[in-house]
Amino acid sequence: MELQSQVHARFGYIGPVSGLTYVYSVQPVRDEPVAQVLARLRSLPGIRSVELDQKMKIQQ
Amino acid sequence: MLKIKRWAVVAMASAAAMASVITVAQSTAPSDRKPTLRAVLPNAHQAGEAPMNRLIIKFKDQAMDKSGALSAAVAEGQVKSLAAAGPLALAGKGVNLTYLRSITPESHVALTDEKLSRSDLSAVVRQIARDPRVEYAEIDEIMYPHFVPNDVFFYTQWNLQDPALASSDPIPGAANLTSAWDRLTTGLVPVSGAGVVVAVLDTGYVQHADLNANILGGYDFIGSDPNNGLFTTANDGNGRDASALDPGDWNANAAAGCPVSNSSWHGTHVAGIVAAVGSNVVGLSGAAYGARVLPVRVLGVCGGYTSDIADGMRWAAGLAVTGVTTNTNIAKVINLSLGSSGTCLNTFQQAVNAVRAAGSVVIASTGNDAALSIGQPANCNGVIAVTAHTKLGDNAEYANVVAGTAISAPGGGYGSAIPGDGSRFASTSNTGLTSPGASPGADTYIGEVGTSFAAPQVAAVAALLSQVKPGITPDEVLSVLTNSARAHPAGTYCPNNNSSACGAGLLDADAAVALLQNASAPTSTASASPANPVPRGSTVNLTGVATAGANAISTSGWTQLSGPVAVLTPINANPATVSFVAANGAATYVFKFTATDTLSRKTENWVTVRTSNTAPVLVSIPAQTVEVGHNLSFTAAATDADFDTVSYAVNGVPSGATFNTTTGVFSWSNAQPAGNYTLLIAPTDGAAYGQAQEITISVAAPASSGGGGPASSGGGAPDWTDLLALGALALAGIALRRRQATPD
Repeated sequence: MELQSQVHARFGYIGPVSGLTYVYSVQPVRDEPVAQVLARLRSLPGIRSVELDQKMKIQQ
Repeated sequence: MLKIKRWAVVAMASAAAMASVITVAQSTAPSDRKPTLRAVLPNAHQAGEAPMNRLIIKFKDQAMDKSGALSAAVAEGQVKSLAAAGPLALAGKGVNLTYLRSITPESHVALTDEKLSRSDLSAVVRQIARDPRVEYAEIDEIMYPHFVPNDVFFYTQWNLQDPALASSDPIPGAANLTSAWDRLTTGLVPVSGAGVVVAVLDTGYVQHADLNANILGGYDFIGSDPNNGLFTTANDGNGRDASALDPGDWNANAAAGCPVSNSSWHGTHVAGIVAAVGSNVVGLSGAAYGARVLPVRVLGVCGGYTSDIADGMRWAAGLAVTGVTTNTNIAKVINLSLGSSGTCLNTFQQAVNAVRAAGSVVIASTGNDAALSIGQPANCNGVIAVTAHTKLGDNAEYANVVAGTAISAPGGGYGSAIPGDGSRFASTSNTGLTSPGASPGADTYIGEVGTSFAAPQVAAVAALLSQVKPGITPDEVLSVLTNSARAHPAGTYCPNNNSSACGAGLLDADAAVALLQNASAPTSTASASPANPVPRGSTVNLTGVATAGANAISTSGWTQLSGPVAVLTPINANPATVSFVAANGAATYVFKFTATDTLSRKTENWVTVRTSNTAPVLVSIPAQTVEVGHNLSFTAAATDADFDTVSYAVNGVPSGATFNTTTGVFSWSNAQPAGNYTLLIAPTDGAAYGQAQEITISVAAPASSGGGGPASSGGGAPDWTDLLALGALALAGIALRRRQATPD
């Protein structure tokens, strides 16, 4: 809720990757580009980096 | 000729469109977060060798008879003389040599009288080689045929062959695994990747008769799809669990984010390239057929998420992952035949850093976009990025290359500059189009092309290197792989253009293993103080100095090989110094200094310590005469300035006669037949031989027979071999003074 109020998007905690890295889902409100949501996240104190959890594919 | 590479499409735009999952690196723990954030919200992504006794000895002189022909007798005499020159020191006992046959007039095959370990036989070889008459000596090594797996389709695996073996049909792109498999570890175990775990982070695996025996229990890291709580990506109806079985990754939904397709069985294919069971008469052989595959399922329908892959990497390396039991089959090698465009995500880089710090090597394919760029995770620091080449060694037309590519491995298909025939190489698969068919009925083999199939060959070679050197670091693996790579053939894409973009060159497994095995071995020196001859009863210091080669010295020390038992007292560790008190009598000691590096490569040096000694002198023995049928007896005697106990060496004792080497008593009852015989006797104090004397014994016919038996029957004369054997003893002048034998 804290993130939602500060960034104005809907968040859901998914799980940890390592001790200080966590995965969340994010749903921008209306049609706002995700890049803007990410930019607001990066500006928050206590957050070192934000990146999309990109999907990798087989390489055949 | 320029290769047209497609520039990769930046993925951020498409990925951002659905605004899905993000990873957030925080400087504070999540406990600061409100519990409500834990609600699942929609729209998320995701070696003992047998003893031996054959030697080859090359003398400086030819073993020729008077006619100039090679003489086995002369050769045999040469060989025997080596042992007669003094006991071949070995663990306190003498070693005798037997002549077997000649190779050339100078080179002969000899046998030790008992089979010895390699190290002991090597010690004998070294001692023989020190003889001034010997040009060289070496173990007559047993050679073995090149290992060729009996898998029925092995002949189709051009990628594993020796590129130069078939001169009529060379395979420039082959990775030379067959030659690497013929090598042995320091434990004398064939190099196959045995004992090494290779994690394959992919779509999981299916049961396959040619793979099952080499598959470890893995893990499925694919969870539910956050947008709907379903398991569309996972496609197995559940989330993370301990089953890495591949349920299939077919996609029937054109809007799912990837093309409609049948199941790929990609993980099974990659696993087979690494470690399909070798020489089981079935199918194919893995490049590291002795290794085990740890299947880590991170890719499902339309791929898999960075966060799951990062978790899978950590788990494979034995690191803790929240909610998952820690893996005990720790992977030394992690293969990632997967990727996407874009710079390396922090999540990937941190995972790479963590597993490398744990000692695991990360290998990733560069991608198949025909691009002059490579995506992630291949572009992450510390990852060995693998591009692909064809059977002819040309960079494959689809294979991404750019500076940062480490090496190229066979990927099949057509070349960028030299198209070739598009050859593929097969690996394990399944006939199921969607869900897997039941094994073994659905087991199959298919040929594929892609950098996905190049990377696991590099992973396999990394496994071979890890077997050869279990503690090898990720950086060492990279160094060995790149420094042993072969250059791309002339006229192919890479040398025609910017070859540095293609990495160090073509993967060569045999060269890599050889480089690691031969990398700068340790050396050593060894010495004794005081110098020979050491005063009797004095304290002798033995000092060994080991110099590290590529690897640090791990152990060093002294052992005694021969001589009176010496109590070695440690004086200093580095250099390794010990001392012992020399005997108060004549004595010869041989000590060995051995140092071993962390790769178990040894350096050895021998030191011989002799106490001061004067050889005994034989009291002259007159020539002997005895009538046929009578008895003859005389005693050899010697003086020794050091008052050492003297014994005797003898040769040419007639049949029926005896000679006691301790007392020097010669005794012959009922001497016959008539003829002239020659004895050779030399005194020894155990450390040195005194001058030998030749004693003539005449067995004469009775005077009543007309006198004068055969002047020389030849029956009792030492043969040429015997004389040569004793020739090493300094021959004395022959005393011709006769002494009449008395009948009993």
